[in-house]
Amino acid sequence: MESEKSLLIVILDTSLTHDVMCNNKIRMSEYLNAVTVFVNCHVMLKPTNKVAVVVVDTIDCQFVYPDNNLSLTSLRQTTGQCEIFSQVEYSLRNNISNFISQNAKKDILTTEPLIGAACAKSLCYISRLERELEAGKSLNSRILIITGSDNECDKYVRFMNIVFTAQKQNVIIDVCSLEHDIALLQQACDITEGIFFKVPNLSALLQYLLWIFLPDPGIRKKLVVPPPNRVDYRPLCFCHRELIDIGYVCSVCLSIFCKFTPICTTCEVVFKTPTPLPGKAKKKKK
Amino acid sequence: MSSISIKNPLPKFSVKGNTSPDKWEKWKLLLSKSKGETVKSIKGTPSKEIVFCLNDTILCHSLSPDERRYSQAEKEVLALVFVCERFKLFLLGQKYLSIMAVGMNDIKGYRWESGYEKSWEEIKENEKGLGFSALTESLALLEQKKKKQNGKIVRLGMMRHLNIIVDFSDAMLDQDLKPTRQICTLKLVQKFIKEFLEQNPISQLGIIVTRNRRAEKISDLSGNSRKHLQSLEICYSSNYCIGEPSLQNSLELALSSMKMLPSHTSREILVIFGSLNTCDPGSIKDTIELLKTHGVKTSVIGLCADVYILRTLCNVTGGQYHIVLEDSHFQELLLNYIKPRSVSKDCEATCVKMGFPHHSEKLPSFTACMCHLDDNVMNKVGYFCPQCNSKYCELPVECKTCGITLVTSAHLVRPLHHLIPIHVFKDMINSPDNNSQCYGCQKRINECMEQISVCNDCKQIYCNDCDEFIHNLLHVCPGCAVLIK
Repeated sequence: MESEKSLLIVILDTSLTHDVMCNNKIRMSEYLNAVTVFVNCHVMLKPTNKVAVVVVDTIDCQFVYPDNNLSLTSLRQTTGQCEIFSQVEYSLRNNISNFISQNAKKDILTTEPLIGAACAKSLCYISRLERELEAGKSLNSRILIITGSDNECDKYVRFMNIVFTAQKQNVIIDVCSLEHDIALLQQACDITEGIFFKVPNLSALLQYLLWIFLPDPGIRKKLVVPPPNRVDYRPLCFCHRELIDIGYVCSVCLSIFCKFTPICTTCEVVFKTPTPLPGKAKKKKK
Repeated sequence: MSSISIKNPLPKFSVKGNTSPDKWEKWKLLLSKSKGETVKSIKGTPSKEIVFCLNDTILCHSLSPDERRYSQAEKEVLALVFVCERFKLFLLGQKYLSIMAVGMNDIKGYRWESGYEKSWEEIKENEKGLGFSALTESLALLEQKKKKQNGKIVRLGMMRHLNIIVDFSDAMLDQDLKPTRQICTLKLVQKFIKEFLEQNPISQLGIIVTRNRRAEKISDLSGNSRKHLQSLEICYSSNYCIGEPSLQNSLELALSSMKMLPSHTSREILVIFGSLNTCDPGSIKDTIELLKTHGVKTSVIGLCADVYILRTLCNVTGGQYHIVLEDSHFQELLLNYIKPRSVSKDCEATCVKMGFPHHSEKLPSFTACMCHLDDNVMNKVGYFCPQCNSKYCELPVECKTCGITLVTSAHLVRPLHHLIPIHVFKDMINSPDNNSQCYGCQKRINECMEQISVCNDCKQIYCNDCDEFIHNLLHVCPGCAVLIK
């Protein structure tokens, strides 16, 4: 028996942008088929491999596999197919269509998928599996985010908390972006040592998934995978929303400003010293 | 605790013999260090004997070489056993022995043991027949207290400077913490350093050791955990612990490195002290006053009995004094210091200039970075100071050339969860026919859990494990992340 289990959680974004859908780059059915095949491939690799799928859009996020409500009697054995594959396929197909039709009735408030919430849920799930693990066994978990969104998907602080937790729990976050370079997700991959990859040709989505994201992180080092991007960690200043090289940070609430201000706009504390003094003090110290 | 008296708390008490019960009040067990008149008449080095006096009778017990190495607390227990054996006749039939520290009675709750005294009396049975000791109850109370504190938003000192003073005197070779105090402390301190710098990336840490009546700085104030851990390696050898510690020397050394710090940063000292004595060149009271004027919060974790001067030190400088019960308690005490302390309202705030380096577009050829100048290591990648263009391979760091602090946005975001903690979940009793599942981990609620938690904002249900995970590690409520404000 192997002592290592490998858990893959796929976070699937179903709120594909207009651009992806309408220009016939990829159809929804093709997209879901590719993901289903990819998920089954992971299960096929080793008998100890585990998988979970979370579906996310702009309104809600939900686990579609494993499904607590799935009754085994509703599954008829299809000829020659492994039981777990038909289970995965059935629950993905059923639950995703339910999820989409359910949310179609609700009002859309944002255009950003709730990837942060889905990641938080996945981390809770991983921590539960780790608690329930038998003694002497270990669980390697990773999260793969497949998204077609174009903008910064969440509140920065919240998302970073999730990323740091993942780093601490040794959970790798991989991102497969269908269209855009997303700075926030790039940082997440960089911090947790995962791969950020933008698919250049959507019709070959499955191939890219199998090539880059199927192998375990240990094996990846031996493969030729796309080199890591250079990640920009410069912050936006709170006052003008611009990328800055040198900024002023409030010592109380850590807000970042591009110029010296006498009062912090976030926590309303009054700064005591004018600009030149801290510089001088530091020089003296040297 | 300089002396012990045994007195009889029970009115039913009766003694055979000529001593009346009221005279029992005068029984005193004097440890040889006390300055009572009776002791003066006895010759010999003080720590070699334990002296008892009952009215005018003096009993003397000389200590064997092994017993001489006992700590103060152990000697007291030894005295107690001795007195029980000698005065067995008078003690027979008495149900309780009350042990009282003479001279310290004015400070209520002075002794850390008082909370745990006679814990066997407080074992209660609940409906299921399980015994709940007072210890678990008090732990539960602590947990609740912690929860409540989490909900409050106070001003915190986010930029912290902490000096850890670790005692490496021969008292640290004691084996009451397994395997020895020294190894146990080192292991926990290493864990603490890692965790501290991870959670407070813009804070700085320094390590000072004290042994052989000297204080020695083994690692300067910096934010690099690897360097600290490396410098701690030398402390592992078994002959590292020698002589007596010097509290004053180490406090002075810590203060000297913190005097020049800007006023918006917090200055803290954490002392881990294993011995009961200290060897100081001058008056330690002056040092304590000096610490107070410079606003250095000093906290102490003691590995053995409560020491008066350490308690005074903590009280005067506004720190906390804790005594370790066992290694897991030790760890909990240490990890408590990871959370930033709240600072007073009138503490100054400053706008601190910081640099945010990024990889430059055109890469220079192989160059050495400022942090590894002596090692002749060249590499291509690195972070460049936006002000003076010096190269560093690790962040956060203070630029050696221009003195600016170099950080990334991720470092600034990391400690923010201390500042904006998520709300405490409401506890609810679970009904067995509840068919829903935990919003976090998808576990069925009705499976085994007695209690569940509900988030006040998003009304989602969580199991207890997820509640703990969310509040201690994740700091994000998945349900609230779905809600759009």
